[in-house]
Amino acid sequence: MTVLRNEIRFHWKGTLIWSLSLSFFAILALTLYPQVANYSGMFNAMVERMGILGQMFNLQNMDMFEFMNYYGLENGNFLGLGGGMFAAITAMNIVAREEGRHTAEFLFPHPINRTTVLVQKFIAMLLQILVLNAIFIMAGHIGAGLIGMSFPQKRFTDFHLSLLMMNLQVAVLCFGISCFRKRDSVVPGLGLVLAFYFVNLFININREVATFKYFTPYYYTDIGRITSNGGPMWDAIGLGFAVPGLIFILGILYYSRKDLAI
Amino acid sequence: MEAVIKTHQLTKRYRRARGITDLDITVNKGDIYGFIGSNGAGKSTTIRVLLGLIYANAGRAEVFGLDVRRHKREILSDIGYIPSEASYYPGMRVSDALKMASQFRRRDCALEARRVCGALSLDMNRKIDELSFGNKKKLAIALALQHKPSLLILDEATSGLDPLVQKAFWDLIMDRHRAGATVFLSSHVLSEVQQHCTRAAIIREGKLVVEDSVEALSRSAAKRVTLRGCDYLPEDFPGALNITNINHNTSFLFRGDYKKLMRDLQAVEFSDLSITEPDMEEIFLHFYEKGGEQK
Repeated sequence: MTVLRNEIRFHWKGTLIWSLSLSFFAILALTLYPQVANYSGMFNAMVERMGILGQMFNLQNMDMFEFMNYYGLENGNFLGLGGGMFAAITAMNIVAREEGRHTAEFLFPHPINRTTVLVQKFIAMLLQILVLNAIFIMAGHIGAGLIGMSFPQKRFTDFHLSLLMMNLQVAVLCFGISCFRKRDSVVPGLGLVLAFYFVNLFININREVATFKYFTPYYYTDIGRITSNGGPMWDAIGLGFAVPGLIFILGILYYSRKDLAI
Repeated sequence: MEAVIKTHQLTKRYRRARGITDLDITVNKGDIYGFIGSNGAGKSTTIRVLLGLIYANAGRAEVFGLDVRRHKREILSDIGYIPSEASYYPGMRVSDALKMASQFRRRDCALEARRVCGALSLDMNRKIDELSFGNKKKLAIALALQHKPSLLILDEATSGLDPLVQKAFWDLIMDRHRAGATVFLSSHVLSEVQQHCTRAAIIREGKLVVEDSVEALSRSAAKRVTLRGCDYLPEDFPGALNITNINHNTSFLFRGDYKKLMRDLQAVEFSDLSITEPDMEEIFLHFYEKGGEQK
């Protein structure tokens, strides 16, 4: 578990900074809820007039001032986009960094096989994502407590389970891609996250392209959809993992046979 | 003689660069083996194939009699490797890197690590990010030696080290050698090879030019002929290469029939004559000029 320990030692500060930053915004958004809820009538009228913009964020099919919907919309964006970016950055670098920063020449002349290294790096990445999600959830409870509110347990759990799956889907895909790369760069990962995000907005506007829903994990993190589905959209989650899972497996197979760039 | 490293027709091609072609080398147990070649000749490629960092396109490489592809873990557990330029994880101290490496090997190497760091005057509490190139190299040496491996693979190991540290380094290597370790030294510092190595190979453009004992290489190469009191030697003097004239002394490399040389020298003015073994530099140039003919 030496690689795992090293990864955690190397990344814990970054994970904490990301977690606390996103949590700060989560608490801030929640503390604004009472004021926003007071103007719900005005906001609802605004949303109706927003047309395509309201459609884009799927606002027209739900009451965005119901507490869980508000949380899902605001904090779903923080953890969805922020957490997705964190997952992409972490996964994109975790393998390719060894070659990009030439530490592969330190690591791999030791008696350790490449697959073991990848497994330990993958576990380290999962732990970081779990820590970020856990801190964010705690911050949600703290924020709700500050304004004297509480979350409906099942919807809250379903929502965060979906967000965690979304973070993991991005991470699995980027980890797989990282195995093919010789240089560490976050750009492809961030590009993918933004592409996924905008594809979801596009699906919200144009229902005819709904088949794309399996290409973007943001589709199944929408609080409105989770609520109307009665829980996480496991079909979309399962299919969403298909391509990233394949790239992940191919990445591991490729990495165990590739010439390391040193 | 038991072979510790053996390659057979080993070939590695890169997309754009030349690698190695049909390389056959044998490093026997107890050898201090010099692997000589200019930059880009294929020395590091060979080492990386032996360490399993890259894979050969054709041929076979064995270390300790085991195939490097199939038995990588077993092989690496008994190898100490010093890269030409060592890179480490950021934020680590010297002691962290040494501990990490010993954990990979599942051995307690603390005692030997302290001994080697002491011999090299390397402070184990210092942060690696703050170390100079030379000190990073010292850490690479400690990492390669702390588990007392039976094969040391050294890639330009002394580059960046001052003469005192080089001496300390060679003392440590010779200690390990006396304890039974085999040493594979890639270098273009030819005096180092001549001073320390028992056998050597010269590689040129990815191909083996010659492999033999350093003594035999010295014999098979041209001899250095020096004529004192001689100011002029025709450029086309039979068998003479690399003619130089300094302070009334003319010197040249000669390989051929010495009786004929004596006859030809009768036409040349000089007061004294010496014929000496060439140094490694001259051996290297000799084989490089001759290309692959010697193989």
